[in-house]
Order: sequence, then C-alpha cells, then structure tokens
Amino acid sequence: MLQKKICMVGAFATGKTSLVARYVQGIYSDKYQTTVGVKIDKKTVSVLGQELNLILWDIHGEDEFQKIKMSYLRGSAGYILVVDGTRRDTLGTVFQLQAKAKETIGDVPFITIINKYDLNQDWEIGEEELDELSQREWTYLMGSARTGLGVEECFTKLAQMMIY
Amino acid sequence: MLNLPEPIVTFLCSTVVRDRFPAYLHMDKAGHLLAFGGACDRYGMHHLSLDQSVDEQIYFLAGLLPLQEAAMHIPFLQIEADIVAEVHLFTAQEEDWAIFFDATTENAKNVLIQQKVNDLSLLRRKQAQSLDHLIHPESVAESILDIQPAGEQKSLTILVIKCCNISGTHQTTANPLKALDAYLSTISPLILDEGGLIHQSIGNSIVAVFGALPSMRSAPEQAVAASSRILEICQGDHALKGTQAECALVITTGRATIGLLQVGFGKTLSVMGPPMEVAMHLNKNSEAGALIIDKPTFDGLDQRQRSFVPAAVTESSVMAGSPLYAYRQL
Repeated sequence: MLQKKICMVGAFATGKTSLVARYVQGIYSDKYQTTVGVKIDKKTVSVLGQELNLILWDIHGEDEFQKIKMSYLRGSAGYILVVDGTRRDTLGTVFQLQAKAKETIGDVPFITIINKYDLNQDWEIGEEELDELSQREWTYLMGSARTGLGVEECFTKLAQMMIY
Repeated sequence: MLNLPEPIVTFLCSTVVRDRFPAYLHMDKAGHLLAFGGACDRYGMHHLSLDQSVDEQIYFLAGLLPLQEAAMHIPFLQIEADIVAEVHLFTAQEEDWAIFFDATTENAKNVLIQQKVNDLSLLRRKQAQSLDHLIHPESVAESILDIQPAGEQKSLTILVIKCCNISGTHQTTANPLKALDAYLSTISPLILDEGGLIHQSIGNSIVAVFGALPSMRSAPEQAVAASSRILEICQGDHALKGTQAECALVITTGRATIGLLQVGFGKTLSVMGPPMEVAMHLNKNSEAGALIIDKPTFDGLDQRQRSFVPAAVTESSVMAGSPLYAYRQL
C-alpha cells in the first residue's frame, strides 16, 4: 500500500491537533492542549480507487519561542496549512511557513484550511484576506474541527492532489 | 573525548539504559534494515525484519530515509499514545543510524511550560481586544473578566502611571496625544503580561487594575512586577518610540467595588473605592522616576518587600492615611 506523509503546520492554537483528532478518530475536545514536538497518527483511506496509508505529522505550532524545524517536512507528499479564522495574524504565519516549506521540500501539494468556522461571530478573515489567498492561487476551504465542517474534505482533497 | 574515569562512564551508561530505554536501527543507504536492538517495542517497532525496507516497517520514519543531511534530531516524537521518543538520525561510515530515547517525562514538563506560554499569549490577545472595546465602548468582554454586572467587592491593586513629560497646558512634546499613545502602546503589554487590566487613561495618567483576573500571584506582586518593568524601560536608553520617557508610579491596594457601567449602548469597566481614591490623590504629587506604594500593597509583597524603604512623611502620605514606601532599585 502506498504511504504518504502529510504535515500539519501553522501557528500555535490554530487547531491542528483537533483537526487530526476529528479526521482520524472522529472526536473533538474543547480543551486546548498544546503540542510540543511532533505527534504521529495514521489513517488508511481510499482515494480515487487507490488505497493510501496517510502518515500524519502533527507538528507543534509556531510561536515566538518554538520555531518549526523545516527538516520535519522532509519526505512529505503534502502538507496542510492551518489558519485560525478568529486570529488574522495566523494567516501571516502560514504565508511565512509556506515560503519556508517550499524552500525545503519544493513544490509539494498543500491545502489551507481556515479553522474554527463555528466561531464565525469572531471571524477576522474577510474578503481582503480571501482575495490574497486567491491571488496566490492557493486551494483553501473553511473548516471546523468542532463541527467537522470541511475536515474530511480537506484531507481528501489533499490526498487527491498528491495522487495526481 | 572527555577524560572521564571508567566508573563514571559505567554509571552514565547504566543510568541512560535504565532511565531512557535506548533503541537503535542500522540501515543502509537504500533504506534497508541491517540491524536493530534495544527497547524497539517501546517505540512501536514490532516484528522488525532485516534486509527489508525501513519505510515500510516503521511508518513514522517514512520519507526521512536515506538521510539527506548529516544528522537530524527530533526532540519529541509522540509515536504511541503515551510514549514520546527523542530521535537522533545520523550518517556514519556511509550508513544511516537511528537512536531512540524515551522522552516522555521531559515532554510532559515541556508541555506544562508551553501550555502556560500559549494560554498567556491567548489571554493577552483577548485582553488587548477588550482594551479595544474599552476605548470603543460598544461592549466589554464580560466573559473574560467574569465580573457581575451588578458589581462586586474585591481586593484590588490599583497602579497609576503618570507620564510626566506630557501635559495639556505645558506642552513639552510636540504632539502630546501621540506621545501618550506611544506610552500606552509600550506600557500596555507589560501590564497585560503581569495579569493586569488597563482601566482607563485620565489626562496624562494611565490607570491599571490588578486582582480582577485570576492569578497564582498576589495582585500587589503583579503590580510591582509591572511597575519595575515600566521603570526599567523609562530609565533605559530605549526611549518610548522617540519620546523622552519619564514616569511616576503609584500603587495602592484595598477593597473596592468593580463592576460594569452602562455607557450608551455598551458597557465599561468601573472601579470605585478607597484604593482608587488614594491612588489618584498620590498621583497628583508623584515625582518622575519614583514608585510609591501604600502599606497594604507593601504587606502583600513577598521577596519584593526588600526593594522598598519607608517614604518620607509628607502631606500626601498623611492624606493617604497609611505609611508609604518608596522603591529603591537593588
């Protein structure tokens, strides 16, 4: 069976671990628990008739003290950039991380998920920010680890991009 | 190599083996397993077969081998639900090696610290938002402050910072509002960092409240910590964004009423009571570079008491109705 490594990257507290937990185990917890280092998970999926073993690297969030080591992305077939829709600055973080990722592993498929859509009353990502994503020709979608919105779609879409 | 006696080397080795559960893998450059040993099962590496691809047998190493750099270190790799490994990958004699150590305990310690750091960052952000709401009083973050709308009596510590070189009448700076803004944007993060709330800006003074948010430290400790950081900035070479910084600080502590006032269509934070009155009174005569605290604040300090000496008796201290203490940098 084909194995594909996928990395979750983004600022801290954007919901990377929650997205993986929702996708792999179908669970969600409201309690924020920070990730230190890397958590590994896996899930077998069928994409376009092909069985894939997805190895998910949930990498700690980037903040002023913990910087993501780009060497963790080595061997990735794709990566997911996670933005917290209630914190505009987390979009800036993924712009920087994507540039570094490209430098390290080249033009590997990636997708951006703007998480926490269930908190859209506190939303800080507007038309201007979405326009910027479009101008960069990034594939993005709105999601929520809490409700499950867009989670399956995000991983499936990336898996399809990795196979093509 | 370090010149260590044999008993020390033996002790270190046995300690590492006993406490860190080492395991290793030895691979050729094609990614085939040549040898393995140690506590492999602990890290989820079961039923390993020699001469087979490591990628296929050990899923979490997929994509990393053969190594593209001389060495790679992953301090915390959570493989099993309750096991975190420290992983070293390196090349020697044109073959790749992986060494695993148990880092579960170390990881747990780091998680505690990082959790605190991240929680504080998120709290600070929320406070900045609520400050924004105070300046634009459409609403106040009631949920963050958890303050009863009807008001409640609490022991609070009030910190008043007077920006001495700004005055509405004696204009010593070209643009006093801009200078106050520079003060506010420099001072606010320090207050928020120490668990305080910016209450309001009155004239050339900024009022902060400590004790409204839950904290492990006493409100006087928080206020004094914020004040010493503010003084440090004022006394340092780094003037506030081009403004010559001169601050006078006053801290008072006591029971006060804290609540939310309806202002127009929104609500704003209100603090009333003796500590606020005394603080505002002392603020009038406070002098640049000084930090004056009242006795209840002094009594609420632990180690930091040593940084204060009794202040001279003045008309202000008599009016304050309690002995005052002045900050002296140790």
